[in-house]
Amino acid sequence: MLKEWPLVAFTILGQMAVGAFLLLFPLLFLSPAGTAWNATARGAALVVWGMTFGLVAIAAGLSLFHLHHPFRAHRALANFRTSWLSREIFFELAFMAFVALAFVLVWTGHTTGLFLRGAIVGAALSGILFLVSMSRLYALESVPPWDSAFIGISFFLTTVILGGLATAWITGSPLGDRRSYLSMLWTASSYFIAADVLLAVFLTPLYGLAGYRPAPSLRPPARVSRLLYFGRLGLLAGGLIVLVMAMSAHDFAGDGGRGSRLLLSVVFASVLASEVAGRFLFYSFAPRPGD
Amino acid sequence: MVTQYGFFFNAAACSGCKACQVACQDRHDLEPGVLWRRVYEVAGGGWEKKGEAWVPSVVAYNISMACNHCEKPVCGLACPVKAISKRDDGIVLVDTGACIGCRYCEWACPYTALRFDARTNTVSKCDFCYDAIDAGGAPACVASCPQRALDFGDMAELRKKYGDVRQIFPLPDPAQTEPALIIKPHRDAALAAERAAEIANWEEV
Repeated sequence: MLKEWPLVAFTILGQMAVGAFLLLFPLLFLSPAGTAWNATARGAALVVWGMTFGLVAIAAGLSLFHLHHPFRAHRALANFRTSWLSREIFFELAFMAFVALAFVLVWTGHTTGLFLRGAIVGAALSGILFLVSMSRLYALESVPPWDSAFIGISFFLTTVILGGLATAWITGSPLGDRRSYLSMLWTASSYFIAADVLLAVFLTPLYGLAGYRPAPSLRPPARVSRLLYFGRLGLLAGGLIVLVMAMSAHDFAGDGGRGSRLLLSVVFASVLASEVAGRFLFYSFAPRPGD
Repeated sequence: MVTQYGFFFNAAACSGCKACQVACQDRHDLEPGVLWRRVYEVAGGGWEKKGEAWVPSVVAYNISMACNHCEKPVCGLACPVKAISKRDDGIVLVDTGACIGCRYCEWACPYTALRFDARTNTVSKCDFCYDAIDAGGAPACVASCPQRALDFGDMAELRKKYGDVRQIFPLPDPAQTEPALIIKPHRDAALAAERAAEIANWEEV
């Protein structure tokens, strides 16, 4: 199970990056300043897109560790026609390229014109297709625990939760201004975390109340850690409780937001740890012969 | 001309001696643990009350399984580097020189035919002993079976000879991959699911 760590890192960092990019969209275009690229919007875009690019680049680098012949990795694009794995890599690279282009355009002050809009739309589309490919990749009839709606929903929630928390945390503590988009992001994140808790309780294969139950097959039986499942649930629920506490006491700090930022850091760390545990759990549902 | 080679397996005749498994390993000089052909022992049941008497309701049989050189080889469709290809005669081969070792095909195959070979750091699987076939011979597993529980040939011929059963408990739904496999079921196979049979020798397969 632990040997799948490169895939755990790749999927989680990739989903967080796409989520952060997509969730910054409304901030840039629906902010009170409208579509104008004021200094705040420009700063936010550079920070989040820089982080997005960094995360995807790290994810791509770490994913090489799950290949036993990493120097042949460039061939992974060869079967775009039928392989979801090829498609996933293709859209990941496209996403990276578009984000890098958008970053450079904003960095160099080219904030008007079709190029930037094209780069942003291209990044958004390729990011979404990257996520779709990732979900389809694991929806295998041959692995019954994975062949359900659980995977798609779970990947979507990881994307919006980690992307939302990362964007809101990096671009500033929003708790002093409940009307702001960032504040809305925190609120939305709390709902999504709650949805993730429900998903884990009801649909997690083997453990969820209505989750998949193992049936005999030629695939070796899964050895799934109970500790991992309940640890994930605890971290997720704990993160949700702290987030709700922080939001309900938004002006409690009186210290320039440092206290609330610390709490939100705890939320982010807790939810990230929960997602990592969940992803290890996910890979343990499908052991290979000899594992 | 053969358009799709396939295997026939007679579960009613198989004694579980594993000569096929050993012959395959020997012929291909496989590392211990890399099994291109495996013999699964399916067992279940216990005792059931009939009238006043308790009688055994045990189910037990063996399944010898290798790559089924599927008509819809999902391993090849999933492989990102096109390292898995299908010959004109239906034999599915892995090009270890192209494989990047991502091991995704191991998840894609419902028969767990793909096996990771730590010696080459690539996946490997049954190649139907294509060199022997091309020379007019038989696959090592078929040639070695003392019970004559294995046979091979063109699928059209095998169907004429043995029928068209392609699934017994606990094999996957053949619609997933269209395996080039014909089975003569063991008489216990029909009762295996209801008697909660399981594969009893995971350590060996």
